[in-house]
Amino acid sequence: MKKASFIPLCIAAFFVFLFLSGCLKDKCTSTYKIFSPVYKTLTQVRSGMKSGMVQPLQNTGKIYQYGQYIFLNEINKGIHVIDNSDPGAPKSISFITIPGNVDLAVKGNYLYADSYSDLVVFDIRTPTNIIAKKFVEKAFPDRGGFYWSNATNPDSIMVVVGYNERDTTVACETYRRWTSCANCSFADASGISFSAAAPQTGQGGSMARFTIVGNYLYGVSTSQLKAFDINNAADPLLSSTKNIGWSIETIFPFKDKLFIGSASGMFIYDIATPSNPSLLSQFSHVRSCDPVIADDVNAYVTLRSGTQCQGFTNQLEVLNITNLTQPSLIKTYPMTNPHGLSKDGNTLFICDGKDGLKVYNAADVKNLQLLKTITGLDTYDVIANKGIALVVAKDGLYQFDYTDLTNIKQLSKINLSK
Amino acid sequence: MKKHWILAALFSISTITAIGQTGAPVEGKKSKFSFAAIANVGLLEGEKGSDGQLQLINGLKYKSWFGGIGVGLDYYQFRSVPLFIDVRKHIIKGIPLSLYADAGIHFPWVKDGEMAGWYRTTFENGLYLDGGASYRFPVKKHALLLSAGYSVKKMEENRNTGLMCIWGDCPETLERLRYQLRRISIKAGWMF
Repeated sequence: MKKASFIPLCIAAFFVFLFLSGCLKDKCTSTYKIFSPVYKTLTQVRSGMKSGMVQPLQNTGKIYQYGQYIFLNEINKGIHVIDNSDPGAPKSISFITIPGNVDLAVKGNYLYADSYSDLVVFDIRTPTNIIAKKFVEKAFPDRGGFYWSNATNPDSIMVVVGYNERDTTVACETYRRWTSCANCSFADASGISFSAAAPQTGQGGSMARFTIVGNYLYGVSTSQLKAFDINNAADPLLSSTKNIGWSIETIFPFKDKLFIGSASGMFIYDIATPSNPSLLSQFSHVRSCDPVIADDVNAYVTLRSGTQCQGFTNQLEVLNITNLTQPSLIKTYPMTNPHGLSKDGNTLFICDGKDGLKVYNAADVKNLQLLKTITGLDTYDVIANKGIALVVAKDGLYQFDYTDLTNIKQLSKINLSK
Repeated sequence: MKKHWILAALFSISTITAIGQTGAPVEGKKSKFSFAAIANVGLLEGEKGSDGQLQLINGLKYKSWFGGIGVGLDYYQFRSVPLFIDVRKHIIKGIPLSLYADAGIHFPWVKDGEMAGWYRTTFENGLYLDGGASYRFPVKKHALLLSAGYSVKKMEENRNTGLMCIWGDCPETLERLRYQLRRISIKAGWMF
C-alpha cells in the first residue's frame, strides 16, 4: 500500500475506534452534602428552653428594652440578655435558647416569646437563670413548625434540632430524593410582635410584631391580630383572634390604640375593650413594607422596597391622626431604604438601611429638619428613650447618646460575630 | 453584553493584525520565521450531539512548525471561550498533512437557557484540549485546512439549591458538578 494513502486510512481508522470504544462518552460527577436530621422530642426541646451560656451575636432581629436590660433576638435561635446598666459598656449575661424565636416582649417578671407556633412564657426574675414556665401551643398556627404531623403529645412530636453532614460524590445521572428534613415546606418567618408602652413593661422596636398594653398581649401574624389575656402573667389565655388583612407586618401601641403596619397600608385599632380590638380606620399606601409609630397628633410610616414586600417605594409618610377615623397624609419624604423608626419628643429617628441612622427635628412635620446622619452602619431598628438610642444594625448593636442633639455620640457597640 | 464586546474586539484585533502580517517575514536578516493566522469554523460531535465552534489562531511559522495563540467559541453543552496554545508540525515531506495539539483554558460564557433553572449557578474555568490532524490545500499564498481531532472540555458548575425546610436555619445545599466533555472536533479553516 502506498505510503500516501496509508496515513489518511490510519487517521480514519483512529476515529472509527473512538466512536466504537466509548471515548466520546461524557463524564459528569456531582459532589454534594447529605444532611441527615437529628431529632429530639418536643418535650426535650422545651426542657432546653432556658438561659445558658452567653452566645455570640450573629443574626440579630427584634430588640426589646426593659429597665436596665436589653433583650435582643437571635433569629430562630433565642434571645440574648444584655445588662445595659452602663450604656457605655453593655454586657451579655446570658442567652435563652428558643428554637424558632423571632419576637418578644416583657411585662413584670415575665418574658413572652414565640417559638414557631407556640407562645412561651419565661420567668426572668433572675436574668442568669431564666426558665420557661408555660407553653401556649399553636398560639400562632401560621408559623408552622412543631405540629406538622397529627401528633399532639409533646413526647411524640419530633423536632429537627440539627443535621449530620457528610459529603458524597455520585454520577450526575444518579436519581436523588431530597428528604433532608422532617417535613420540608416553606418556613414562614413572620411572627407575633410585642411592643410595650404601659408601666411595668419595656419598649420594643417599631419592627416588632408583639406588644403589651395593660394586661393584654397583642400580636400580629401575616393576617391576624390576636389578643392574649395576661392578667395571670404566667398563664396567657387567648381572648380573640381577628382576620385583619394580608401581609401584616408590625404593631405599635399608643395609649388605647394599636397602629398596625401592613404591605398595603396602616390600620388603627381601638382597644378600649382590650380583649376585643375593633377597627377604627385604615390608611392605604402603595405596596411596601411599613413599620409605623405614632404620637398624639401624627403617625409616621416608613415604606421600603425589597424582600417580601415586593414594592418599589422608599419613603417616610407623615399622617395626621387627630381624627382617628380619618387619618390623612400630610407629607411624604423620600428615603433610601427606611426600616424601623422611633420618636422621643420632637426628635425622630429613622433607620435608613445602608444610609445609616437619620435624626430629624420633627417639631414641624411639614418641614422635617435633618439634624444628623450617622453613617457607616446598615440599620434595621431603633429604640430612642431618655437620651439613649439603641440601634440594631447588620454588624452589631449600637448605643448613641443624643442628649445633646448637636453632638450625638456613640457610646458603645456590641459586634456581631462572623 | 460586556463579554460580547470583549470577544468582538479580540477577534477584530487578531484578524486585522494577522492580515497585516500575512506571510510577512519577521524582521531581521533573512529570517525563517513568518507570521500566520488560521481562522477555523467547525463542529463538535459527542454524546450530547453536535454543536458549533469558532477559532482564530495567530502565530509564527518556522520551517515545518507552527506555534500560536488561539481564542474561540465552543458551543458544546455550555458556551465557553477557549484560550489556548496551538502547535502544529508538518509530518511527512510531500504530503500536506500536519498534526496539531491545542491546550488551554475554557472561560465559561453560559447562556441563560443553559443554566440549571431554579438553582443559583456559577461556572468555573476548565481545561481545554484538542489534538488531531490537518490537511492543507494551498490556495495561492494561503491555504484551506481541513482538520479532524479529538477534543476534551472540562468545566465545573456550583449549584446552590436553597433547600426549603419547615424550621430553619435550613441547611444550604451546595452541589459541585464536574464535567468532562469528550468530542470529535471537525474544522474547516483558512490559513493566511
